[in-house]
Amino acid sequence: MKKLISLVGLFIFSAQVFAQKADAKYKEHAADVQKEIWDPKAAPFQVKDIPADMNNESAVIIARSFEVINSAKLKLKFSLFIGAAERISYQTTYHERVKINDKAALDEYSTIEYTKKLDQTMVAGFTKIYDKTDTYIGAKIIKSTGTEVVVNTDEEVLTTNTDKAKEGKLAISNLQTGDILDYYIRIEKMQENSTEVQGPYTFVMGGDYPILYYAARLQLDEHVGVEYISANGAPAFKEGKNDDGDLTLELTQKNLPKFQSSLWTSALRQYPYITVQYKFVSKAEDQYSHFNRGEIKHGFLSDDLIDQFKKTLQAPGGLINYYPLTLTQTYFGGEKKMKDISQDSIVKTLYNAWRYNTFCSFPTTNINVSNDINYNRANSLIGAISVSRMLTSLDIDNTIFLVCSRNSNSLKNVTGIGDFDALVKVNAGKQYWLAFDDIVTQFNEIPARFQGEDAITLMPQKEKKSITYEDGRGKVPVTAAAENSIAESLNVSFDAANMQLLQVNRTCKQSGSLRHGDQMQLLLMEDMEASLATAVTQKKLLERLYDDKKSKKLVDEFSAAFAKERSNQKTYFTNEINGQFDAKPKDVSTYQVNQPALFSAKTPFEFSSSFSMENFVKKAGNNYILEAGKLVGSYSKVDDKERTRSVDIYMPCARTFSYNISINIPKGYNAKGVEELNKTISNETGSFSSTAAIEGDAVNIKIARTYANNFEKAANWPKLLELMDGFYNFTTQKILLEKSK
Amino acid sequence: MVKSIVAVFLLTFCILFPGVNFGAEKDSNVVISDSKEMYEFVLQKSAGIVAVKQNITTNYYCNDYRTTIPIAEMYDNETLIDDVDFTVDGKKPKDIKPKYSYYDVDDYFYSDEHVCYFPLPLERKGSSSSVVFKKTVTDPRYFINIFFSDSYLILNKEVNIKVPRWMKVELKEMNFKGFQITKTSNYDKGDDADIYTYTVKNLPAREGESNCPGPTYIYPHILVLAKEATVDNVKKTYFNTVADQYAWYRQLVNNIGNDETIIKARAQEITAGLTNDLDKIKAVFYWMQNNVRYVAFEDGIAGFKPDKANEVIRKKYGDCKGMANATKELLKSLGYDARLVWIGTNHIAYDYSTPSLSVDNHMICALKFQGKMYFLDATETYLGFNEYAERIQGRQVLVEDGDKYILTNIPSPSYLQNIDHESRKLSISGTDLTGTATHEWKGEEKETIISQLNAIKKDKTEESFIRYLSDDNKDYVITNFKTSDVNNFDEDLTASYSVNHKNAVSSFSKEYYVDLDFSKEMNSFIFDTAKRSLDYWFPHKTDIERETELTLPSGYTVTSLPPNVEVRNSNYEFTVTYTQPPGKLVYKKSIIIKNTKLQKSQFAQWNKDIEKLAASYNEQVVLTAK
Repeated sequence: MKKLISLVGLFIFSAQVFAQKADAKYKEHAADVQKEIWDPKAAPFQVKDIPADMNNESAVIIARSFEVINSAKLKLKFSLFIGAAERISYQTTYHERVKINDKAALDEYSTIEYTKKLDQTMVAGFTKIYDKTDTYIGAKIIKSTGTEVVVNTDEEVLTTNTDKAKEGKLAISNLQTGDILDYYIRIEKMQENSTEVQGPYTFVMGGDYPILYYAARLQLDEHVGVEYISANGAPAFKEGKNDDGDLTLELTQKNLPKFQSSLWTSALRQYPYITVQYKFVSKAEDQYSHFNRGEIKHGFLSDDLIDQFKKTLQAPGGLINYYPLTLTQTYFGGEKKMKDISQDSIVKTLYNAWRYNTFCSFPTTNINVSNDINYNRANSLIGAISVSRMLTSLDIDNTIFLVCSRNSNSLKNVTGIGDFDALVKVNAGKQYWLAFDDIVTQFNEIPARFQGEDAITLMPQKEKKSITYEDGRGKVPVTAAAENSIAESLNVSFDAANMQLLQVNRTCKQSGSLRHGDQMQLLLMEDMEASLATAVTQKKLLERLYDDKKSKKLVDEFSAAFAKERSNQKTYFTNEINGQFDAKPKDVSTYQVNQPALFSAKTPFEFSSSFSMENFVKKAGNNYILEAGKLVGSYSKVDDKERTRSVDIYMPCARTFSYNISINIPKGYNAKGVEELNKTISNETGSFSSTAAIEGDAVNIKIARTYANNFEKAANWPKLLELMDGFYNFTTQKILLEKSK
Repeated sequence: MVKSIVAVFLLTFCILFPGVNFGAEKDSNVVISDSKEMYEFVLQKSAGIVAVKQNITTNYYCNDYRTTIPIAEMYDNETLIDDVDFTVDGKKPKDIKPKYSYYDVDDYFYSDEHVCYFPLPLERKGSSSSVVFKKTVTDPRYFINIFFSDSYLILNKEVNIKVPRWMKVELKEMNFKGFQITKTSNYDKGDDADIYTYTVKNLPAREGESNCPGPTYIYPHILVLAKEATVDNVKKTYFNTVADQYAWYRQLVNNIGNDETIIKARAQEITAGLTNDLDKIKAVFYWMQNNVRYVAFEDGIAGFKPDKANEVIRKKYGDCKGMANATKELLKSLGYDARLVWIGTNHIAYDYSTPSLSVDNHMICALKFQGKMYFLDATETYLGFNEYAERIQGRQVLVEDGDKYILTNIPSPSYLQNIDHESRKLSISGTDLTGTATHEWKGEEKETIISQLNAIKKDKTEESFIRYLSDDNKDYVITNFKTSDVNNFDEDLTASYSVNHKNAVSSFSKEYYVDLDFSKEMNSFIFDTAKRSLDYWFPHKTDIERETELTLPSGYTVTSLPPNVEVRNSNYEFTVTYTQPPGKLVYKKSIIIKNTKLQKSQFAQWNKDIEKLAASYNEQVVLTAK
């Protein structure tokens, strides 16, 4: 026993000594890193004064640099399994010098959080495959007197502290407003036998604060393949090679202004940035990787990506789920019978079968049919590839369209397959579009964010035993304003017992991309599942469960979960009203979905509700003032500072809104001021009109407004403002209900 | 922040398990069918300590449909998890492994809170899953309360507390009223121990509501007061009296190791050129507020022991203990009588009549000056000297007094400390109201605005302030905006500006309809008495006053006014009046919150009173051409 104790004691002692040595080694290297970063005293990192006109900035980035150094060397290992291991080191250094001008910036810069150590080394027999990352940080403060104070990084706290992982947090001591903080984060990673793509690193030519000096430098092993893009007018790197043959990419920028946020922008389409990625490429890999060993590729990378994507698509096998095809065949009574069916009917059914399969497959280990799952989204690439395969197998002419969202980078600035989304265009007598997006997206509907976008097309060609793809270019069509519409009908009356309480019966019809939000908010999964199941002649979930002995016991449970969700529907309607009017209804008496519109663009999504609202009517002596303009919902006036604009306008879609409001004039009152509600504005960006008249015992108001396009040049901003201001002014209009004399 | 033992309530079951969606769990789908808890004071002879062993068994039952619930149990430096075991429908699932990790508590830079968590399936309707946690609290001082309620309805629960007779413990029953809780006790002769058994039935799930009292006010629990242990005729005193608690705190603060030379030099630098004592005191306090940022740190015994004052001054950050100690030492170095103060904020229901580590969660500095005790809390970054935040007002405090201590209370100033006054002079211009306005804020009203302005980037400060004053109404145009120094919180905050309120006047026929109340505070502040189950606590007392003087357009006379409002009671006042000096109409409104704690029983009356205010808000002034 004593021997055992002494052995244990020895082990503990050895472990402690080892830990101490590792700690000492870390500190020694940390000191070297600090010397390496701070000693050269590059001029931009010595600046102590900022331009006087920046004193009112929250912070000013005096200098920011980002450097990556990568190298690789072979290490022979005695293992049958891994052969000779390639050891690759990655060294990334982020260095920033920032003037802190206020407490907001002080708060932002007062803490550094970092992964101090992460060791994911794997042991395979007697061989280790290294995967280690160490992070070194340093910070110093330059006081307004010029004194430099180096922050003691030993004051860190470790929120995770194991042999394999250490998570660090450092509160920067002695930091005050008016100080300059000069800090760095150095990450040193060493991996063996790794083929990971590094990055993408994105360098944005601007940010939240003005930047006086900005530098990026990558020094990469000669066996690395590099790809980068310069978007929206961003410059190119200065490319070269150093004496060791390493590839170098360098960039220096000065005086970058801070970004200003604006209404309706698309940041990745409008602000300059560079995205770079690289990968160590072996000779063998060089043939099939879009990263070319020893090469720097700049600019449009899509072609190379497409080549690789095509190879992947054309490779035999793949995990395609053919269940939608099986459902389709079942729908038409078997594969043979489908020969007599028109292609457009088949496509329509196949698409609904895909929706049903994608969005109505419920796990039976953990029942969740809450409203949250209405917002599930499909992976459009997988959806498009799968459905295209199925269409091709049915000899239906189709083309995959690879696109980028208007809210994301443009097609020419993709850096990976994951940057693409996909649609399928089908030629089945007529042309149809299939989108793989959310549960309410209909057959032949294109999500607004892809409309008008350039696309790379992949047209499948059915060979004897395989499918090949011919690539080309295309453009996704844009829907007109009339196809994306909201039409509201409101019947408004004054509560008999309380004139200041409005009773409202509202019916809302929504089409195109304007309907998705409310459809997902108001429809119940139980109902959508039943509709989609019916569309592909499947029984609805509860019936299917009941029919199977094994799943019969689930019927009660799903019924209970559906019932619970149905009981929440009033809350969803209340939230919808609240969102529309920016005011909570006092009471919602009735609510219903009249038309779920899951299948056809011809029938808009329609819902109605009856509710009462306070605060729309003000008493004024014996009279009442109705804030009639507010009945179209809340609407914000454009800020004064947004009235001049230099960046183009990315709106969600071309769209139309119309309101048909009937206000019942209570007995004993006359309506005054109705004529003020008549207004018409029209220009090339859209139109707004309102007409109002007293007809019998009612004031009837008709409002229509249209945004003609989903995109406008900045020069058209004043015209859009004209429309928006016109509508805003309408929302402030009032009607006097004057007591009859 | 002083180490808070009630941290368990900071855990809101928001830990995410990838791939598992728990949905809303505050419903009847899952209940705790039965739960058994055993707490036992034990002597760990090898370590020479008294520990508290806990064995907590919870059975969850699925009422309606299968689901997965998150299980989370906290632990820290003094509370260890010895073992966790669980079964799903009677079987141990092989694919579920508990994870142990650091728990990131909101607003804390670092704490020793850790969490053991895992997902627990309830496999089908009518099935049960069970969890057993075995834990040890290594010092009875840290074993401070036993809460009975949970996130789920509890049908049956039994809580057993085994207290050997060598251990002196007081069990104080808190918030039992209205719940089905019974107590029995028996004597275990073998262990010479008393066993207290609490049986609980149909205990509702905990419900979070905005601005409600802290958990120690509302949930049934036992406050455990460990007083002393006598083992082998040796007595070990914990917190038998508040003197014991003070003595324990005192030994922690007596060996902080402050460097007086550094502190004194800094104090002299801060007060250089000042001769007046009060000016020097304020200079020190404001220097602390302006230069030392609050960083919450809570780590075992360090959760009770302040950092060295010279270190806080050097680092320019500290937790409440560090900031209190630095404030004290700076003042002391200048010759003032400054002391440390332990205090529980109003989040805690207890005071020092129940000596325990659960009584306090905060530390500040007291200053005896010219026969009066002032309290300085530098963590309240934007509150002036001798102004007190609601969270500490009236609270009992334990003040350092050498080997003795002083128990006293923080002053509780009236609503007049917190003023938000606005005065406008307007006239009608077309359909606009134009004129000038002045605004004044004091106390916590001032602190609220200044702290928000300081959280906004400097170049956006004025724009944000204007947005706040205009309630983001683009038709309420503010120009010529001037304010007092927003960084000087020794003075009141003031603002003056020109106003053009567009479309504020409706003109029909020969009449103007005018709304003289722009801000309409509390307009829809109605409690849903069917849904709200807990009292409502306002953030602080307040005195909101609005005065608008309208110059009547020539040829017009006032023909109708909204009703005056006069609501006065001991908790709040709402008043609205209109007066008509020659050629003018003067609107005055006052909203005063005198008592921040509005009880549920008062909600109905409150709603009626708000309706009176709303009725006035919803009526306009009518001016008619003569």
